[in-house]
Amino acid sequence: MGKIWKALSSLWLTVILLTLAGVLVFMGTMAQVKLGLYIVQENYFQSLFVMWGPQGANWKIPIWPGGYLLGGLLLVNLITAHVIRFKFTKKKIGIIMVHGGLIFLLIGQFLTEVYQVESFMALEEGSSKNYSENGRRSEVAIIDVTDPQTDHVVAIPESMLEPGREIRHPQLPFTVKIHEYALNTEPRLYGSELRFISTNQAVKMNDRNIPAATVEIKAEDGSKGTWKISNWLAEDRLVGLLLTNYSSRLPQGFSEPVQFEHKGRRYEMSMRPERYYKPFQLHLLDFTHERYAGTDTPKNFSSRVRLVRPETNEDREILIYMNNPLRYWGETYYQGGFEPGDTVSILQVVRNPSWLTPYISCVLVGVGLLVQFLSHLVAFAKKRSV
Amino acid sequence: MVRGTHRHGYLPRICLLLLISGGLAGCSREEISSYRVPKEQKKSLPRHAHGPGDGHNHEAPAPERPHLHWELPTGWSETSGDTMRAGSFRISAGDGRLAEVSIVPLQGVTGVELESVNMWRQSLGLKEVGREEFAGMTSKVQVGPATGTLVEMASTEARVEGKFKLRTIGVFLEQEGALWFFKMTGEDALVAEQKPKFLTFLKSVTFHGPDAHGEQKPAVTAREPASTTQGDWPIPQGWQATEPGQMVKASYKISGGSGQSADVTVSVFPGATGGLLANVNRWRGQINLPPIQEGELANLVSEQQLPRDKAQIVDLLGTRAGKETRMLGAIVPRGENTWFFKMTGDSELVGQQKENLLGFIDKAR
Repeated sequence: MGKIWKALSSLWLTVILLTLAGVLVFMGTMAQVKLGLYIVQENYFQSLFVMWGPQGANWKIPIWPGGYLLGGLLLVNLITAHVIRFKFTKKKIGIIMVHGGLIFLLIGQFLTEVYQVESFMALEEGSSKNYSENGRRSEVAIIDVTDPQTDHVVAIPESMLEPGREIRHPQLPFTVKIHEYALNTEPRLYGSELRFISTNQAVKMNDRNIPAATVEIKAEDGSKGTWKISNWLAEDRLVGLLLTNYSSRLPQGFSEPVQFEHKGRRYEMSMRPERYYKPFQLHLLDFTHERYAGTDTPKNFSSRVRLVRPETNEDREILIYMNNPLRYWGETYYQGGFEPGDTVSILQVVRNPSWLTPYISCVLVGVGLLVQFLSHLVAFAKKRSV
Repeated sequence: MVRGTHRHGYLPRICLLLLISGGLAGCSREEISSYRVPKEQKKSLPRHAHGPGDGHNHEAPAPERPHLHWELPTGWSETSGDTMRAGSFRISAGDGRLAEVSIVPLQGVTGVELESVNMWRQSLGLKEVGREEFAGMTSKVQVGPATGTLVEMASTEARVEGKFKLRTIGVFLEQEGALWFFKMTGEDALVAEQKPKFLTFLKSVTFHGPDAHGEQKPAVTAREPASTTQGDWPIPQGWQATEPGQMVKASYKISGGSGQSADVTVSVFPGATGGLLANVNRWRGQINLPPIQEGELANLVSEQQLPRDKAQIVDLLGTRAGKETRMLGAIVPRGENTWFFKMTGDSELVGQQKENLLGFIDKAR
C-alpha cells in the first residue's frame, strides 16, 4: 500500500504524465487535420483512452491515455503529493498556494467541461428571441399546442435517439418509438418524396451535422403514425435551401411540423436545434458592421439590443461588441458573428457556472509565486546583512 | 504505526474527492426536459398553403409577402403555384427533354447563396466551391429594375436516365425585404437554348412589396390560368397525381389500406433510349438487383398486346430501403418515341394494381 502511495505522489509520475500529455496534444493536433476540432476533442481529450480500430471493423483498442485519464491522474498525483509529502509550514505557504491554484485550475477545467453550455442566438434586426440554440446538438420537440396562449414542450435530446428505443415520459401520454436515426444527412428527392440520406459526420470547423429520424407515436389505442423528422424541415435556412434546390418538385407543406391528436389534445412534433429558454427577451435594435475603408476586412461589429424582463421590470438597451459582452442571468453574450447582408447578428451565448475558477487559480498561483520569491529574497537579504 | 494511521486518514479524503468529481460528471447526463413557453410567432418562411377545414387557425393573418408580375415567354407553361414559390414554369422541348423555372422568395433568410449554389452543384455531380471561387463564377444580370447575380453550371456526365446532362442557371438578388432565387434547370441543351428567353423574362419582372393595408395578396398576380404539363388522361380510382420530377411526364401515388404505397411514373423519350437491356438493368439497379446479361432478357421480359400498343413488360422483385419492393415496368414504343411506365412499391399493392396499370397505359398517350 505504501508503495502505491509513494508512486502516486512521486515526481516521476508527474514527469511521465506531462510527457504523455504532450504527446497526446501532438497526436490530437495531427488528427484534427482529418477529423476536425470537435471529434478530436471528444476522442482525444474528453475520453479516458484514445481508441483505435481498423477501418470497417467493429472493435477498437485503447492506444493512448486520453485527456480525462491524464488530467485525473495529474490531479491525484498533485493531491497525494501534498497529503503525503508536504507539511504545512509557514516557509512553504507559497508553494502550497501555487499547487492549490493548479489543483483548482484542473478541477475548474473539469467542471467547465461538464457544465459549460455554448449556444447562439441569431437575431434579425427588429426581431426578438427568448431562447438560444445549440449549433451542434438537436432535439425532438413534442409540443402540446392545444392551449391558445402557451405551448407545453417535451424535448427529447438527440443522444437518446437510438433505433429501436421506446421513449416514455410522465408528461407524454404516449410512447415515442425511434425507428431510424442518422447523425448527419443529405436531402434527396425521389419523385416527390423527400428523403434524408445518412452521410459522413461533419468534420470541418464550420460544418455541422444535420440529423434526421423516423419516429412513431404509439398510444394505447394504436399507432398515431410514423414520420420522418429532421432539422432540414425545421430551420428556416435549411428549408430555404431545399426550396431553392428542389424548386417546384417539393410537395406542398413539406416543412410543416408533424401534427396529430390524442385524447382531444393537439400535438406538433419536429426535430430542431436544442433550445435554452430564458426568462427575458432580447430584441435586436441595430446591427453595425464597420469595415476598413476600401476593404472587406471587418473593423468593428456591434449589436444594440434591448433586454426586456417583465418579472423584474427591466427594460434597457445594451451595446454588445467585440470584447464587450453582456453578462446576464449567469450567461455571457458575446458578439459572435453575423450573416451576409449585415442584418442578422449572431450572439454567442456561454453558460459556465465555473467561469471564475481560472481567475481564482491565476490569482492563487501569482500570489503564491510572489510569496515564495519574497520569502526567499527576505531570507537572502537577512543572511547577507548578517 | 504513525504512518499507517496517516495512510488510513488520507484514503477516505481522496476517495471522497474523486467520488464528488464522478458524481458531478454524472449530473451532466442529458435528460428529457419539459417546460411551458408562450406561443411563438409564426415563422417568416412560407410553409404551407392553408385551406378551409385543414385544422389551422385561419383567423390569424398570414405573414405578408412581396409578390411579382412578369411577361410569360412563349413556350413556357405555368405550373400550379403555392405559397412556397412565387412562380413556377415548365418548358418542354416536345421530344422528352424538359426544363423548369422556379421563383422562390426567402424572407428572414440571408446569406444562403453560396450554400444554395453548392447544393445545385451537388445535384449536377459537381464539386463544391468556396467563397472566392464562387465570386469568380458570377456575373451581373438585370432583373426588372434591379441587378441580380447570375451563376450557371452544367453537369459533365449524364444525370437523368443515364442519357441527359443537366444545366442550371440561377439568379439571386435582394429586393423588397426578401432574397429572391430565380432558377432554370433541366436538360443541358434545352436550358442553354432557353437562356435568352430566361434573361428576357427576368427583365420583365416587377417587384411589389407586401400590401400596405395588410391584406394578404397572392404570391403572384396577373397569372394566366394555371396549367400543367401532366397528362390530362383519366387515371384509375385511388391514384393521386403528384408533382413530376425532372424528365418525368407524369407521376402518381397509390396508397393501400394498411399503410402500403406505390408510385407510378410516366416518361417519354425519343428513339429506343439505349435498348431494352440497358433499361431493364437500370430498373433492376433501382431496387438493388444485380444486372443481367442479354441472354437472360427473354426470361424476364414478356410481350403483351394492349388494345392499341405492344408493350414489353418487366416484373421485378427487389428491395428498396430494406423493404421488399416490386417493380412493374412497361416499355411502349409509339412512333418515334418510347414511353416508359413504371409502378414501384409494396409488392402486394403493386400486384393488385397491375390491371389498373395496363388499362392506364392504353389511355395515357
